[in-house]
Amino acid sequence: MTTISAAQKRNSRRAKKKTAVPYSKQVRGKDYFWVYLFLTPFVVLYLGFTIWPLFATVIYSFFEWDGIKPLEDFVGLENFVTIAKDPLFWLSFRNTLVFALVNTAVKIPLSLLMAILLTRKWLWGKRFFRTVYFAPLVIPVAMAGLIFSLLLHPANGAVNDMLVSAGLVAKPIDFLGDERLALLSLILVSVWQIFGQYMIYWMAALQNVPEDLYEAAELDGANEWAKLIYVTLPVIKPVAVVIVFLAFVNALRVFGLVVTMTGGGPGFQTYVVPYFIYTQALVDFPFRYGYASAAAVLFGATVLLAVMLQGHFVRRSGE
Amino acid sequence: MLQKKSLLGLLFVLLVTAVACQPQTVEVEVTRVVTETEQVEVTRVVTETIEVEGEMVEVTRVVEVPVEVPAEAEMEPVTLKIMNWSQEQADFYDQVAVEFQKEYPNITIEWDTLEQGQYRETLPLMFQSGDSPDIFFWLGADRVLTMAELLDQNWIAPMDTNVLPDDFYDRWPDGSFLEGINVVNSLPYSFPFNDNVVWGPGYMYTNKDVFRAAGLDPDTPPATWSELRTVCETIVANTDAYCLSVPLGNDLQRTWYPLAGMNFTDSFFDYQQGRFDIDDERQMETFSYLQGFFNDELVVPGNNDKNFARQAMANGQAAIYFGGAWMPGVFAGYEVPDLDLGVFAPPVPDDGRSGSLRQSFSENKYYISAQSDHRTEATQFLEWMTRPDGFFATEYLAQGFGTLPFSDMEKYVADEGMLQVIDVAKTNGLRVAYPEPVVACPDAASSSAMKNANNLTKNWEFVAMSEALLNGEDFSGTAAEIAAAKNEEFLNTLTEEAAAGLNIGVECFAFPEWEDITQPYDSALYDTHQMPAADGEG
Amino acid sequence: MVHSLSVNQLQRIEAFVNKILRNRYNRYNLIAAGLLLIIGFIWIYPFLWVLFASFKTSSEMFSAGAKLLPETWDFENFSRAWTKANFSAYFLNTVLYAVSATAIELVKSSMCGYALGRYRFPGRNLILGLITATLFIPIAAIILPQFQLVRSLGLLNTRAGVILALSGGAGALYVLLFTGFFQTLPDELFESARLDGASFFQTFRLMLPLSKPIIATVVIFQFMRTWNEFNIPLVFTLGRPELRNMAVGMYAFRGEFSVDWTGFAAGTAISIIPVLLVFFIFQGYFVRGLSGAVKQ
Repeated sequence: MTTISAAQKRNSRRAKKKTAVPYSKQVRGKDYFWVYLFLTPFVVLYLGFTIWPLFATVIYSFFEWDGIKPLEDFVGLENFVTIAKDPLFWLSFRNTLVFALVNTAVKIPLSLLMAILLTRKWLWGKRFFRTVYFAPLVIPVAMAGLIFSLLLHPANGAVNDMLVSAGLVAKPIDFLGDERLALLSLILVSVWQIFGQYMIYWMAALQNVPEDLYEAAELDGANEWAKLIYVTLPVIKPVAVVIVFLAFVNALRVFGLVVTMTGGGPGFQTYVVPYFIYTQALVDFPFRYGYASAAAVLFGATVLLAVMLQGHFVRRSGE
Repeated sequence: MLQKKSLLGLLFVLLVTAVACQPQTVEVEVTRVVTETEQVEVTRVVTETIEVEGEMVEVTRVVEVPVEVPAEAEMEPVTLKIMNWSQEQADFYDQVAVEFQKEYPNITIEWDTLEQGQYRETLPLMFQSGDSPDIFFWLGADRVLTMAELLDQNWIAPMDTNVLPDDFYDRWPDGSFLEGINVVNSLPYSFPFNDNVVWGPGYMYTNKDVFRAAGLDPDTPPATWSELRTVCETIVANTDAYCLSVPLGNDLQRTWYPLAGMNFTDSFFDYQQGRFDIDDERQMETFSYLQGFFNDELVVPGNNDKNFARQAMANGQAAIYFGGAWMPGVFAGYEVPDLDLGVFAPPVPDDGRSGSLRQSFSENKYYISAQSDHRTEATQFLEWMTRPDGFFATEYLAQGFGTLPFSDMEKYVADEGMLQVIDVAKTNGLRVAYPEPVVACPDAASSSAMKNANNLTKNWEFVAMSEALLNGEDFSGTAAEIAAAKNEEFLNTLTEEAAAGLNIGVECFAFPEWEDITQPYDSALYDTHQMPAADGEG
Repeated sequence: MVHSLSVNQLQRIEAFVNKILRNRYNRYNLIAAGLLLIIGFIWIYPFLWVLFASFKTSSEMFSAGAKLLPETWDFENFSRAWTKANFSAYFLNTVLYAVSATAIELVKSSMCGYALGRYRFPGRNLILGLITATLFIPIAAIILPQFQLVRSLGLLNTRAGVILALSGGAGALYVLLFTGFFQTLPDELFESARLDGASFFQTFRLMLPLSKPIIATVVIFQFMRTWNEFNIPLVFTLGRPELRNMAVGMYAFRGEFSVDWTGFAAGTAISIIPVLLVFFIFQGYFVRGLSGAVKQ
């Protein structure tokens, strides 16, 4: 009952948005001043510290430049042409996408379940459990990488010790050295580390669900699962879209764990775009800021385009 | 508001500098007079004192200075900022600052260290903002061309020769100062800091206890490739330990250099033929030899980096680790108090050594910033720092931080492991001087051919080899692919550059007259070296 | 021992167990809390491993495998961490940077998110679109342009420059969260505020406390981010090393030839305490509090 009314409300609001801005959302009179005043601090800082560096990145991508000498060796699209022919870039591209998709697909449902569980009123020891599942997030990435390199090590790592003594495998598994397993291992360790962040996002989102909806659902005899499907998910959907989006975008930036756990290896099997950019721009002389910038721009633009197209088709097919 | 303040501050500094200007020139002259009498060490202290008190009495006690002299005007207190990335040595630099100030009371040293990655990222920013340290540490893209690069960037100023003693250059072995490498128009810009005989990769470190546990004599190391193989099989058969600990990825170079260097060359460029050489049959032979250890499980498993690989050896998980001259100090930091460390020359192929490690002019590391207002004081510090029997050299060697070409290493090095390293290097002559393309063809300094080829994929050889080693794959196909791609890019760039007017060609990088790669390239041979055709036909 | 219990006692225990099990929430708890406890131990194991590693010697750390407890408790790592990473000198800077950057972030992202979520106005879609689009592009050389900006503002080598850069960098994500939140607030809330004659700013002040969970999210993550940030506090204070923070200090464990991992572990153990504390306090904000407000 209530679920229907919630859905109706949502639908009607969406319908209104299409036709006209709802009365309460219109800006009137001197509120214009306030709206733009409220935007100013963020927009100004955002222009300076995000848009400007981004703009500079685009500019650099047209130069052959080491980040040290004056910016004067304009090469036009040459960096892009070279990048497009660089097999390592495309391998990194593919790995990044695989990483981001799988990582998101694993961490999002798990962290949602955990968030729902950890916001149940009846649960014992909420504070304690929340802290436990949040804790990995506060460890510096370099340290996290080191621990897992040790725990997953084929010679005397704890994980292999357990697997072997439990008789699950005959020989220790080289999680980070086997070219088929290295990327997967990275994905799972990353889920472990970042889990707390999405748990928190979901916990914040879940606060949007009015308690009376649950009460009504309970009166209708809904069990926990039904409450999740018919009450929780529909209500948090707008925020959920943002969270999934952030999860994917943040996963595209995977970097620290690659540096400390595999260094891109074995071979180039775990190269991801941010790591590729980093090695080009900063690790090995000569620094190639221009080339790295071109890689960043090409990667970002391609993914953005893909997401937009996909969104477009989803919307089209929905109509 | 803030800017106004800093503007005022700037004005003040300018004023003080203007006032201080006069005595400064006087000091330089006095100092030079004294150095001409060649009483370098003691007189220098006195000189300072005389200079300061010259206008007063002829007493030579430093102690009286602060009481009677208005500080800024006369003493010109100067703060020298020095930076490098040797963070382990931070405490030592604090001592250095104190010791130096005993002799130069007016100069305060602020020695800051950053992590290497951060340092390389931030030093360019410091130069951009005019905040650069007076003395800085740097290694360029092509180490031999570091000074040329820095000059090009306007980063460096020459040392002030007025405050250098006449015998300054004699502190180093002959041939350490070369026009174009660390000298321009007879003005020195830098100096070899670490020596290039001992310092570098190529040593075999062993855990002697593992040898004993396997029933082997820890003091008779494997001298040939077959012996190493036999020793490894024995160790793995008789103990729980593995034999070799080999780091992978770019860190593979630690194991690769000594093996490849004894068979052919540790460079992926063949300076005899002038081509990228990973597909050379001698390199492939070295690779197959190494891969045999992996395939037969004689190597600590896993995709390890250098940190893990070293630890594995120190902990007795493995018997042998190949590493650089700095390893005794690193092992000392691992807190394995009873580690019985062996230091040996790397084993050579069964039919004898047929290669060498590359020795080049790569150790010019400290430079004076072109932005520094204290070039004279900076030079004074570098002069003090490089005194063969001074505090810096003796303590640096005694604390086992490295080797120095301007001091008597055997006399001052205290660490047993380090002494063995020096001994191994000197008796085996692991490194020989390779021909330098820049010396043969000055235009090679402006060429991007080498750079472009290496930029195709950074660390390509090491990463590809690591993958093949870990997964037991055949490498010859990949090697051929790498060599072909690099040589193509290399030759194409050379052709373009020659067409653009550079006097350059593959001849600048090929030295067929260098017949024996185990022997140094004789610099007299440069005269017979074939130059590229002047018209640059491609 | 069962046989030593009297029948009476057994009955009492049985009654107690039944009483617990009769409440279905207690039944849930026995399953859920039990599972959470077991998985939680595995989950936090690597974290505990770091804490205990800070008491180990370097060689023990690398050879310990799964073992948590050190053979001998070595407190030397902590004193080394404290002095080598210069924590005593950098502690106040770290607190100042983290607290002020978090406060600024909170203010600007809640204001912006409120305007974007609550109102439709010209330029809204542009801003939202820009924020979303820029999230995709990894910025290759972000520190360089930021450095030029801070330098041209004359704020190099000042605490203000560090704080500005710290609070300028990340906000987009938080704005999206606030926007999403204020968007889902029912219109009736704003209607009633308007009918009560509340001004724009008064309405904002009424609505802001409703976003407690988002506030907690922003505080936790921005505090954590700025507490651990090492690039900005390093690069913008190159001329004055005394302005660095603890995260920069932590890099002192990375030497030219080797890394002091146990010192690093000890430094980590020290520096995560405040972050965990902030989390512990603010996780209490994740209590359903909205329903009451909606009813009013």
